[in-house]
This record gives sequence, C-alpha cells and structure tokens, in this order.
Amino acid sequence: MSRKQNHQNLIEQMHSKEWRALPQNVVLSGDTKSGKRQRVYEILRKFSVVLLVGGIASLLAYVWIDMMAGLSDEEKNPVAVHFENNGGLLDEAWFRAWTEFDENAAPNLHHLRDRLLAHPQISAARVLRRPDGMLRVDVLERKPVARLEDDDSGVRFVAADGVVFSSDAWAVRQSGLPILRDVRLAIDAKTGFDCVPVMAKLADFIETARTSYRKLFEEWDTISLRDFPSDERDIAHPWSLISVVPFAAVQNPGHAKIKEYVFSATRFREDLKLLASARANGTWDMVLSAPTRAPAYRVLFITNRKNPMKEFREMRLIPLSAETP
Amino acid sequence: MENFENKPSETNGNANPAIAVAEAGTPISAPMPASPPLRLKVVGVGGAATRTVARLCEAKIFAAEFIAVDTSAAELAALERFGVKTVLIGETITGGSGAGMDAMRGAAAAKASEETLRSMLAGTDLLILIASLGRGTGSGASVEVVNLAREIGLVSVCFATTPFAWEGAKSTEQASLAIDALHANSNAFILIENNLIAQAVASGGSFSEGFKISDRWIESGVSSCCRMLLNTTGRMRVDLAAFRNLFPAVGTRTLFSVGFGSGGNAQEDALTELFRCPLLKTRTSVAGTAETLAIHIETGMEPQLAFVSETAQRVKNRFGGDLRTLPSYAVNPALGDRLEICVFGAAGIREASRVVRKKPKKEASDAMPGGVLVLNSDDADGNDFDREEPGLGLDDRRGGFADTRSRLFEGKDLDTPTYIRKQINLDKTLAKKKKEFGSLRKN
Amino acid sequence: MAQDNILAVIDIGSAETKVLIVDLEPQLQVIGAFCAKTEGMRKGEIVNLGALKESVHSAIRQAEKMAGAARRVRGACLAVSGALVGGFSVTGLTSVKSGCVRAEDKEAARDDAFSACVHRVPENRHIVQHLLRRYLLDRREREEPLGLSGKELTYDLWVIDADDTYLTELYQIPNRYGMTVRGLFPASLASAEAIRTFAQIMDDNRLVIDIGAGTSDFVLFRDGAVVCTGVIPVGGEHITNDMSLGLQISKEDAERLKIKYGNAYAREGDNVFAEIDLDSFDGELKGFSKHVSRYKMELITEVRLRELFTLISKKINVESAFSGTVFLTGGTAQMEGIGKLASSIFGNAEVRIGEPSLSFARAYAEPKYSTVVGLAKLYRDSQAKSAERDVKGGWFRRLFREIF
Repeated sequence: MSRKQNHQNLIEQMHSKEWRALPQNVVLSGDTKSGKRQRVYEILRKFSVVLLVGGIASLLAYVWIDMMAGLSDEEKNPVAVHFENNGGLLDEAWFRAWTEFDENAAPNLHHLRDRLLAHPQISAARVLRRPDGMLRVDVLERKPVARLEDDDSGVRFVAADGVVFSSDAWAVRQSGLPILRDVRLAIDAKTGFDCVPVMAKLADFIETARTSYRKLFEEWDTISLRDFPSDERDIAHPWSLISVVPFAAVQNPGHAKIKEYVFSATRFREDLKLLASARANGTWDMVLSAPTRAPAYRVLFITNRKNPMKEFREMRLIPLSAETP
Repeated sequence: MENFENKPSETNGNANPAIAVAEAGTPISAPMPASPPLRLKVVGVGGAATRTVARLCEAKIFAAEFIAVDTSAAELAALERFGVKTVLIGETITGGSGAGMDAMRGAAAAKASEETLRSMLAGTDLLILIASLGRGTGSGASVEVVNLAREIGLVSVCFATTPFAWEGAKSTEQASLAIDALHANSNAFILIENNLIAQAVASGGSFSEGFKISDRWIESGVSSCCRMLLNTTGRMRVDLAAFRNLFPAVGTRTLFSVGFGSGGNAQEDALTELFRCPLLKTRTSVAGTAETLAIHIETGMEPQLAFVSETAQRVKNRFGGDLRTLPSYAVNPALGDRLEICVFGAAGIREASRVVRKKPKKEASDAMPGGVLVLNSDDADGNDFDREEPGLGLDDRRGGFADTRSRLFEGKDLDTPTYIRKQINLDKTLAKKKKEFGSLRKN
Repeated sequence: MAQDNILAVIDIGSAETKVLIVDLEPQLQVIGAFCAKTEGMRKGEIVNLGALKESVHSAIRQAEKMAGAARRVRGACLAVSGALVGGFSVTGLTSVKSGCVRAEDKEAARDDAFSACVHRVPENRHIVQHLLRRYLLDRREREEPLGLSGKELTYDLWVIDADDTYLTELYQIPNRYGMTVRGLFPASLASAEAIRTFAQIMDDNRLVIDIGAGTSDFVLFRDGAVVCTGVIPVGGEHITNDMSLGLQISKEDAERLKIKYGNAYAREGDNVFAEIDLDSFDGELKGFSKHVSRYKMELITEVRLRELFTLISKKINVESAFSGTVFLTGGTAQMEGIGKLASSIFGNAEVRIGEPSLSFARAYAEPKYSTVVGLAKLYRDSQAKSAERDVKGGWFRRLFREIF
C-alpha cells in the first residue's frame, strides 16, 4: 500500500478509536409542540430544496435535449445552416454533400456530428442549434504536413497528428510538402482512420526544418523513415533515423554531390544546426572541393563517444562510390 | 525438580549425563533424557498452531512434550510423522471433521472431551499453549483448555495468533472474544497479531515471509521459555518457582519481545530489533515498563560477562523490571555468530484487582494495633498495610463508599480512610499531643 | 443553522452539576447557568444512572429557563473524569531520510505514534484526546524540528482514554434530553484552561490540580505545554468520609464541619485541646451535645490531603521533575492551609488558589465553576481550529450539510 493509503487508513483507525466513534442515541423526550413544529419545518425545508434543485436540473435537461434531438416537432420550417471552418478548404457545399443534409427534416445533431467526424480531414466538429432555429456548425480541419508517396489510391496527405487523408483541394497546392517514403500505416485507435504512428516527431522535424532552416528544407525532395523492424506486425517499434534525399539527387543523379542526409529522429535539432553552421561557415564547400573528392557523399550524423566524458554530435560525409545508389 | 545439579546421576558423582554430552561439543538435544526432570508441555490448539507445534517437535531443540489438539482427524493424522502426540477432541460433536468456523462448536468439543484434556494436562509443571485464533477449534477449544489449566492450578503461558483483517469480521470477532477470555485466565498471554506482521516484513516481502516471521517469534518465545528452564549450559538459570513468580496473577499484561542479530554488530542489531518489535505494540502488551522481567540471551559461543551484563542492563533500562528481573543465558553452538535475545515480563500485577498483593511487613510494624506510627512523608508512599482492624470488615472501613465499586489505585484502596491505612491511632496521638502541650502549658 | 450556535456545557461533578448555556456566535457568551446537586455519582463514577439523569436534566431545564431559549438546545459538551479515565504516553519513531527534517518526516513520526497508540488503546476503551507533547531529535528535545539536521525523529504523544461503558452511560444523559454530545474533554484540561489567564506568565511550569468532591484532576505543564494529565479518585467526599468514620459522626455533620472548620494542617499548641460543639451548627435541639476534638479532625484531613498530594507528586515525577507554580482549584481547594500543605509536598513551590477568570464568564468566577468555564473555552478553540481545516475541505460539502 502506498504511503498515502497507509496514512488514510491510519487516520480512519484513529477516528474509529476516538470518543466520537461511540454511538449516540439521541432521543427526543416527549414531543413538545415546538418540537413538532420544528420537525415539520425541517422536513418542509428539505423537501423544498430538493424540489428546487430537481426543477432546475430538469429544465436544463429539457433545453439540452431539445438542442440535441429536437423535441419540438411543430417546426416545419426549413432549417438554415451557418457553416464555419477556420481557414480550411472545406465549405458548406461540401458539408451538405457529405452529410446529405435534409433541410426539411428535424436534424439530429448527434448524427450530424458523428457523420462529420467520420471524414478523415475533420479533426473536430461541433453542431449547435441556435435559439432562432438556425443550425451552427463549427469544424476544425486537418492540415497536411507531408505527403505520402503516390500510389494507386491517389495523392494522400499526412496531418500533424498522423492521420492520413486524401484531398483533391490540397493536391492543387502540393508544392513545398515533403514526401514520406517507406511508411507503414496503422489504424488510429481513436478515429479509425489510417495513420502514421509516432507522426508527431516527424511533424516536429518537418516544422523545425521548414521554419528555422528554410533554405535546407527547400532542397529536400523525399523524407524516409528508416529502421523499420523486420517484423511487419511489430508496429510499435519506433523508427530512429530520418533519411532525406535532396531534389538534386533525384533529378540529377549523375551530378549531385550529396545523395542523402541521415538525421537522428531524436537529435535532429543538433544535426540541423550542425549542417546549417557547416554550410554557413564554409567548411562545407571546403570539404566538397577537396582534392580527394569523391563523386558523391552521404551525410551522416553520429554521436562521438570516444571520450565518454564529452559526447558530442558529429557530422560525417561518407564518400560513396559511383555504383552505390 | 528444578535444579539439575541436585539430581543424583548414574555415571559419575557430579555430572549429569546431559551436561557431559554438551561439553563434548555435540548438540544438547541428541540423547534426550528419558523423563525430563522438568515436565513442560507445549500444546497447540487449532490448525496453524498444531503445525507450529509439529515444526518445533521436529526441530528437536529441547526436551518437552509436544501435543497437538484439534477437532479434525485428518489434520492430526498428517502430523503424526513429526512425532507429536495428537489429541482428537469432540468426536461426538464434530465427528472428527473439524469445527468449521464456529468457536462455539470448538468449545463444545473441548467440553465434551474434558476428561481427555484433563489427563493430558495432568503431571505438568508448566503449560505452554499455542493457539491460532479466528477459526473454530483455535478460538473455542483453547479457552476451555486454559480454563482447565487454571482449575488444576497450572501455570500457563499462552501464545495466540490472530487472523488477518481480510479473513473476515466473524474471524476477527471470535478471535477478539477468545483473546479476552484467554488473557483473563492465563498467567502470561502473548498476542501475535497477524496484522502487525505486515509492519515487520520489509515492504515487498512475500506472504510466506510474513508467516515465517510470526513462526519465528513463536518459536523463539517457546524455545526461550523452555531453555530458560531446561538450561544446562549457561551459568545463569531460571528455576520453575522463579519463573512462576514472574507471572503471579492471571489477567496481567505480558511483555514479550525477541530480537536477533548477527555478525559484527550483533548486539546493537539484536537490541534494536528487540525494542522495535511489533509485538510490543499489541493491545495486550505492556504500556511502558514491566514489573517483572526475564531476559534470555542465546549466543553461539560462550559470551563474556561484560557483554551479558551490559545487554541485560540495557534491556532492563528499557523495560523496567523493578520488582524482579531474571537474567539467563544459554549457549547454542548451532547459532554460530548469531545472537538471540528474548524478553518476558509482566505488568499490572499491582493493579490486578483479583489479587491484592500483601506487601511484606516492615519491622516497625510489629507494634500493632496499639502502636503509634509517626507520620512522615516517607510513609505516605506505597507502604500500605492492608491489615484489618479487629472488628471492622473491609466494607465497614470504606464507610460511605461501601456501596460503590471498589477500584484499586495502584494497589491501594483509596476509599478506606488514610489514617486507618497508615495505622494512625487518633486517640493515642491526641492524648500524646495533649500531654506534650499540657506540660508546656503548665510552664 | 441558528440553533447550532447554542451549546449546553455540562460539568457533572460528584457533588454538584454545573450547566452553562453558551452562545458561540459571534463571540463566546454565557446566556444561562445553573448549579444543582448531583444524585447518583460518587468518586467520579456513575452509580445510579437514572437518578443522575434526573438531576442533570432538571439542572439543564433550569439553565434553559434562565437563558430564555425559545428553542431547545441541541448540542452538549461534557467533561470526563474519574478512575476510568487514564493517560499514557506513546512514542513514534522515524528515521530522518535526507539528513534534514522535513514535513514528511514529521508526518511519518506522527503516523508511527498514531499506529502505536491505536494498538495500545484496549478494545474496551476509546480515546478522549491526544496531544503532542514534544518532538525529540536524536533524543534531544526540540520545539520545532523542521529544518534541523539529525538522524532520528521521535514524536511523543500523550493520549487520554476512557472506558467505553463509562462513556456510553455518560452520553446517555444528554442524549435522553435530546442533545447530541458535540464535545468531550478531560476535566483536568478544562480546569487548567479556565485558570490559565489567572497566571501572570503562561509559558512556564505549572501544575494545576482541581480538587473536586469525588476526584482530583491534575495537569502538568512545562513551558506552557502539557506534559501529563491524570486523575486521582480522591476528593472532598473522601475527607468527609474519613471524618465521619474517625470522629464517629454522621456524614452531614462531617460535611458541615469540614466546610466551617476545615483545615489542612493539624495545628498544635493550644489547638490540641480545642473542641467543637456540633450543636452549634443548627438551631435544632439535640438530645445530647457532641463534642469533637479539633485536632483529631484536622489530623484526619491533613493525613488524607498529604496522601493525595504525594500520589500526585509521584505520578508527575515519573514524567519529569517538577519545579514551578502549583495552582489549586475546585471546591476543596478553598480549605484553609491547603496551600501550605501542597507547597511542603511539592518541594516548597509557590502555590496559588486559582479561579476561572475568563472574560465571558465573569459572573462565574468561583473555583467550583472552573471546569465548566474551561470546557466552553476549549470547545470554542477546537471549533475554531476545525473551521480552519474545513475551509480547505470543500465549501460545497459544508453547504450541502447546511441544507440537510
């Protein structure tokens, strides 16, 4: 038992050993008139308080149920809708199409909300009935953070919380979104949609790169997640390396100097900083133009543990021969 | 019968065979004397208690008669192989199948087999009873056995274990009733509350570890008891009469504690364990200091005198023992470098309202009843003479308080007028003073 | 509820029952009082519950009448005393984990003391009050160990407990009148509280002895904190009884004798020849006149009081050597010479006769009211303390409780 529980037990034991624990048998000797009156007053008071509280509760309950399920059936007027989506691409037309909205029927707000949440792009939805009969729908949309590699099901995007969705509207503005490769999808327990497990870290990485290291980010083409387990069923194994292939390597394989960057999933910030500073202070160009230059390099970030007292993160350019991809 | 050395031996003039064996370095118990001079009976009543007794018997640590009493024939049969003597009680009531959880049935079973129990208890000097309370036989029959022992006049030391709180309210209730009854009728009553074991076990200890600890306590207690009396190797021994005087009245509170230590710091460890033993915190245990005390120290090899006296002194400081302290020590080679201290004590002897102790007279009181005692502050404390004045019964002496309940306050009956208790004869004092001041007046 | 503010404070003594009706809000105020003779209680123990109930109820009724309370009083506060009340000390031990004493260590020591206490109190007794006596850090006494460094912290607890039967019977008395017992305190602490402000200095060593009719309750304070409490079941009744047996007179005569001529010292000199004529008490003609020797009477009293003080002194010397002031209160403390006698037994300490001198009960400044006045004060203080604690405990719960 935890200390706290022990303590509680002890307090209880002490209380049961105190004089208060002995039972008292209060008897009203004789029923005086004032005594009777008092007792009646007591009972009336308690009763009235109970009524009051019950009344308020039932009133609130009625209002809520009315809002939700529409108790009053006499409303035959067509229902107007006010749709709000903060900065997203989905609009009212989509809403009506998706929920098959019927203006003349009494809308069931729960059903509406459930239907809205069934769309992978919607992360939160709220449906309220305004007192004048108008329906107000607030919706929060998922914004893509990366793109999954194109496959048969069309272009699919990944949001910051890992949920995968496809969207025609976003496809138009794909520029700038990195592509994820070698991703095994899992089913998100909460929403039932496909999702990329542990996406948050990756989203973090992409955000950091996009905001703080824009120049670097713009050179990238594909982002892969490495070190997936050999066992397909073992989704819980976290990946530990992020591999980034720059555009140059994809578009111009023969002449690209850098084939790949390999970042650590946990220490990518240090790695990005190292890379940025190397680019900035000229060591980068120095290395690339050194006499013993190789045709291509892979950039690796490792932790130098030669001196256990001082571990530090190091960037290594590994020369690749022409044949290695 | 108490002292070994007085018994004539067969081999040589001044050594008892048992002592000779011990000095040769073999364990004391190897050849047990055919009839031990001290008849000690260790009786276990109830399931768990009988198993404890069986274990003690098997360990053959000392020479005593081990008896297991139960209502369940099956349980007793399982214990035969340990060499315990088994007594099945209440066949007519329970049919040899146990008392269930009912203490009433256990008591009825014991009552039905009263003759058997009497014959079992006959010819005993000291009875050590181990009872596991909460179930039927333990709670019910043990009370009967203790009552019988009291009737016969046996000195009884009773160890009782209580059920865990989660075993149910009925168990706890039955145990509680049994505790009261046992306490009131045994000379020494030591309560081992299973709930306290949880405190003694280091956090995360297993269930059986807890039981091992409670078994260890009982074993230490019983074996210390026996060794104190059957001691053949130590220099200081306790004889039966002295032991009996430790617990002179029934219903007094008993102090019992054990401590073990080993290695370099054995003494400190053992003393610390001794002072912190959860057994001191049970509700039948002694609050504060005990009046009589018996300290038993066991070591692996012969200890130094200073060591023994220092340990005994520290124990005495902590536990009191103002009335009487009996130290004893034994050497048990099987212990190695371990040290075991066991303390018995009793408190509340003065307050036991059943027995009003008559203190030994002081010399000055020989002049009685006509003598005059000069009152000074020394006399005001503790030295009451509960002697009856001729013609006055106890009730008359309390005067107006005769119709109220008499309660002794630390052994004194405060309702009786103080001048009576201090043997002050008012008329004589007055006359004396008158003479004193009369002569002054004249001058 | 308005009714909750009115409380009946009852001190059931072996000779007299004192009832105070007090109003707790906004300030402690006495609105009614009555003092009546008690039947059925001797030596602080209940011998005849029915008679006791009747006498206490009539006292309460009179007090209520005086208070003019239109509605009945619902709560009562009682004092416990007598041979069935005991006190003992318990210590809890904990090792200081991080070298420096922190709040958790104090709590752990307190929990250890509580658990020992829970085991030590027998089944048939319940705790009336428990007080912290002192903290010991590595065996040295410390007033506030928080923040100090040491290895072992000891929590020294003094527990006052009472027999269940006694408590149950005691509860029945207000319960049958329709009152719940809201507060219960040992009479010794109550009397000490009442005469506390009487002392010039509050932070010193005090021994307060309340010598009532059936019992003498005492409390020992050291540096203002309670060290030990106790009850000796000897009181004024015993002196009367002794006198009646020793002088062969009736109890009523002995009582009157004690009140009028009582002296704690058997004075020598000419007093040895003095005699008192019992006829001088009342105008009734007696068939024969009875003379009693004054010296004898005083000797009986002296012997008895000496024994009482010696018993108290022995009990307190177990806990700690006493040096300080002795305060005597209670009906019997008004006897002549008792101060000198006490002083001689307590090592020539200063002895004063104390009276309750609390502001709200100015009209009741006699020694016999010390217990009941002190009770009211103790109850009020304990209410204030628990109100402090309750504030955190949830206003909603209190609101709920208020409605229902």
